[in-house]
Amino acid sequence: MRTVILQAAIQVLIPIFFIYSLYLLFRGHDSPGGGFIGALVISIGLVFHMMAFGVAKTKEVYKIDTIRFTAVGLFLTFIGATLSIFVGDGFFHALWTDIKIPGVGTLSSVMLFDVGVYIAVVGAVLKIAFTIFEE
Amino acid sequence: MIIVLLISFLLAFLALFFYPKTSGWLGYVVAFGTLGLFIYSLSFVPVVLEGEGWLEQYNWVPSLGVNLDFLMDPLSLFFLLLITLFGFFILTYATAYMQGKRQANRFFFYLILFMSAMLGLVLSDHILLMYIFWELTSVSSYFLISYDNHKEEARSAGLQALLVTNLGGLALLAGLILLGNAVGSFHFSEIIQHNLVGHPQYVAILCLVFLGAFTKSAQFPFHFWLPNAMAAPTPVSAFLHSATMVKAGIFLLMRLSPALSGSEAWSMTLVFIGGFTAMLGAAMSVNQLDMKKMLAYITISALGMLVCAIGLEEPLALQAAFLYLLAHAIYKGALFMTAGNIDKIQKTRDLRYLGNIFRTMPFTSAGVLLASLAMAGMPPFIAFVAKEKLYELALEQSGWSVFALIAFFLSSVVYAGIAIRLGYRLLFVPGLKSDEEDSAAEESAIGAPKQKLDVPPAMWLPPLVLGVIGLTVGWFPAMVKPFFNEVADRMTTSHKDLDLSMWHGWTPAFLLTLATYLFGWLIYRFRTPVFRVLHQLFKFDWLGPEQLYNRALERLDSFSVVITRTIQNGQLTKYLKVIFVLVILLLGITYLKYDLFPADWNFQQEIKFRRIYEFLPIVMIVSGVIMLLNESSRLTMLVALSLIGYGIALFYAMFSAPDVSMTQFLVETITLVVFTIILHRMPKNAVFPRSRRQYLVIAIATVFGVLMTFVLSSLQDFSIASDMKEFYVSNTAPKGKGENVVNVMLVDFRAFDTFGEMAVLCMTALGVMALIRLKTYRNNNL
Repeated sequence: MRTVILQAAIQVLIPIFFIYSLYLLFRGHDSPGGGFIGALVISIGLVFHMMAFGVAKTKEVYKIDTIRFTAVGLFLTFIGATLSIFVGDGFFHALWTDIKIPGVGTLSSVMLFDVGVYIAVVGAVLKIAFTIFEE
Repeated sequence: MIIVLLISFLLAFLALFFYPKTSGWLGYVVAFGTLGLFIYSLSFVPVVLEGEGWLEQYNWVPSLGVNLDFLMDPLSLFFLLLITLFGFFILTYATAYMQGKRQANRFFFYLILFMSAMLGLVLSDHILLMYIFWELTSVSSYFLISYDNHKEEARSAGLQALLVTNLGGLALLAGLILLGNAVGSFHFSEIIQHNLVGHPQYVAILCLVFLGAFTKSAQFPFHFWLPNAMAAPTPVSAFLHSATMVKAGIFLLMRLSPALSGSEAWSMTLVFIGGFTAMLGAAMSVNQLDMKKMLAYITISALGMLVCAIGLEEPLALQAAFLYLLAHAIYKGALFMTAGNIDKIQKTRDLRYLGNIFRTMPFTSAGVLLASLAMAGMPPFIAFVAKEKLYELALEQSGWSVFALIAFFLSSVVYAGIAIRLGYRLLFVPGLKSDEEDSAAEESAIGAPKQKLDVPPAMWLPPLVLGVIGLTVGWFPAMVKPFFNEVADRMTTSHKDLDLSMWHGWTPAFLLTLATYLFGWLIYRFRTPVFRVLHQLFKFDWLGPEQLYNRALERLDSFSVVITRTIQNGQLTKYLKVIFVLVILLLGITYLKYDLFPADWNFQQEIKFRRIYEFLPIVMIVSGVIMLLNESSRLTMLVALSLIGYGIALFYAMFSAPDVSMTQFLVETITLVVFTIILHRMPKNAVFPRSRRQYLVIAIATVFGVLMTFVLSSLQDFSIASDMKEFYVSNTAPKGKGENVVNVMLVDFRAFDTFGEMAVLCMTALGVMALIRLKTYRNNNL
C-alpha cells in the first residue's frame, strides 16, 4: 500500500478532507450533513494516510490518541446533554445562545452534542482501523 | 445539598486528571476538600435538629415525573457527616499510603467516586435515584477491590463482591418498584409515612429488600465476599468495608423501617439472621492469621449485631443501633488503618510473626491501643456506652428475641478476646520469628537495637485521632445526644430520651459488660483449646455459601462453553446463516399464519422511470450481484459488494433521502477500505471452495431477499396513521432551529438515542481493540 503516488497524494488531500468534513459538520443542521457524516469523511482520509505511511506515522503526524478521542467525544455529548440541568430545565433540553458565527451557525448545546458525536466517531472508526492494520 | 454531591464528583475528576502531575500532594487537597464538605454539612445540624428536614428537587425529565430529588433529615445528615468525616481521614491516610504506587490517580478517582455515590445514596429522596447510587457504590467497590489487577486473588475477589452485591441489587430494584407502587409514591419522604404491614405484597417487598440489604451488609449467607475483599488496598478496606459501603444496607433498613416494620416477619428475620451472622462472624474471626481478615470477620459480626438490633421492635432499638454504628465505624476504621501501617512497615500481616509493635511503631501502637480498648467496649469510649445500650435492649427482650441477647453477648466476648490479642499481645509481646528473620538476625550486627521505624504522620494520625474521638464522644455524650434523639424521633413512633451517661449503677447491663470482659479474657487465656475446637468446626466449610458460589460459577462457565460451541463455532458464515434462517422462519410463519401474503402476486406499485438515468442503480446492483456470483478473486467480490452498496446509495439519493445516501456512500467506502486492508493480510493463495454449501447460501439469501420485499411492500398497505411525520416536519424549524429534519432528529429530538449509540460505538471500538490485541498477545507468546 505504500506507494509513492498515494503518499504524495494523501498529503495534499488530507487538508481538503478535513475542511470538507468540518463543512459537513457545521452545515448539518440546515442541510444534509451532520456530525456522523463529517466524521466518516475525515476518517476515510486518515485511513488512507495510514495505509500510505503506516499507523505510527499517522498517529505521530496528526497527534491522534484514539482512546482519548472517543472519551472526549463521549464526554462532550454528555456535557451537551446535561448542560441544561444547571439552568433548571431537565436533561437533554437544548440551550441556544444568540451568537451566530458565520459559516458555523448558532452556538448551542446541540452543536456541542454534534461536535462530540464527530470526535467520538472519528476516534472509534480510527481505533478499529488502526488496530486491524497494526495486527 | 446537591452542591455537596457535585463538589464530591468534581474532586474525583480532579484527582483523576491532575494527581500524577503533583507527586501526591493533591491527595491532601482533596482530603481537605472533603473536610470542607464535612464542615459545610455541620452547618445543617441546627436546622435539622429543629425537626426541619427539607427536600430539594432538580429537574431531570419533568414530563415523566423523574427528577433529582434529595432529602435532608436526621438520618441522612448523620450519614452525610459520617461519610465526609471518614472520607477526610481516609483520603489523608491514602495519600501517604499510595505514595509511589503506580496509577494512584485511578485509585483516588475510584475512591472519591465511591464516596460521592455513597453521599448520593444517603441523600436521595427518590428511591430509584438511591438505587442508581447503590449500584454505583457496587461498581466503584469492584474497581477498588481489584485495583491490584495483576493479582488473581484481587480480580476474583472484586468479581465476587460485584456479583453478590449486584444480585442483591437486582432484588432490591424489584422490591423498590413494588414498594413504590404499593405506597403510590416513589419518594422516601412519603413512603416513610405509610406502614405496609398486611399489604398483599408486603412479604414480597420484604424479601426483596432484605436480599438487597443483606448482600450489601454481608449478612449470612451472603457474607463471604467481605473477607475476600480484603485483597483491596488498606484505605479501601478501612473506608468501604468498615465505615461506609457495608453500612448502606443498614441505612436502607433504617430508612425503610417505618414502612416495613411492625410484623413478625420483619423482626424475626432480622433478629435471627443478624444474630446468627454476629456469632458466625465472631467465631470465624478467632482463627484468622491475617490481621485484615480477622478485622473483616469482626465487621461481619458487628453488622450482624446492628441488623439484629434493628429487628428488635423497641424505641430503644434504633437509637442503640445508631450509637453502635458510629462507635463501630470509629474503632474499625482506626484498626484497619493501623493494620495497613503494620503491613507497610513489617511487610506482613500474619499475626503469628508480628509482635512487639509498640517498640518499633509507637505512634501506630497508640492508635491500635485506643481502638482495641474501644472494641472491647471499655469505658470511657463511646463504644462502651453503645455496648451497654445494646445489652439494655437485649435484656428487655422475652421469648424468641432472647436470641439477640445470646448473640450480643457471645460476639462481644469474642471482641474482647480479640481486643486483648491486638491491644496487648500484638503490641507488647514478641511474635514468632520466621526462618528468614532468624538467619537475618544472625547475619546482621549483633546487639544492634531494632530501629524505631514508623509510618509517616499522615498514616498514624488518622487512627489516633479516631481513637481520641471515640474517647471524647464517650466522655461528652451531650455532643451527640440531641442528634440521636432526633433521629430516633423520626424513625419510630415513640422514643426514650437517650441516657448516654457513663454510669448507670449496677444495672444488669453493666454486670453483663463485666461478664463480657471476664469471658473475653478467659477466651484469650485459653485460646489454644478454643482454636482447636473452632478449627474442627470450620472443616465443614465445603457446605458453606462460598463453595456454593464457586461451584455455581464453575457450572455457569462450563454451561456457557457448551452453548457457545454449539451456536458460535467461530465461522462468520454460520452465524449469518443462523440469523437469516431464523428471520425467514419467524417472518414466514407469521405471514403464513395470518395469511398476509398478497392474494394475487402482481405488485401494487407501478415502477415508472421518469428519467433514463434512474435505471442506473439497478444496473449497478444487478451487475454487482452477477460479479459476486462469478467470483474469481476475493478482491473482485469485494468490489462487487461495494458496487451494490453504491447502487443502493444512489437509490437513496434519487428518492430524496440525501443524509441517508451520504451516510451509505461513506460507510460503504470505509468498509471497502477496511476490508481491503484485511484482505491484504490474508494468505494469498486461499481460494473459495465452490461446493454444495455455496448453493445453500445462495438459496437462503434469495429467500431472505424475496421475503423482505414482500414484507416491505405489504407494509405499504398496512401503514399506521400517525402524527409523527407531521410533528417532525413542522417542529423542526421553530423548535429545533434547523432546516434539516433528519439531522435535527438525530441531535435534538432523539438525541438520547444518539447518545446511547455513541456509547455503544465506543464500546465496540474498545471491544475490537481488546479482541485483536488479545489474539496478537496470545500468538506472540505461544
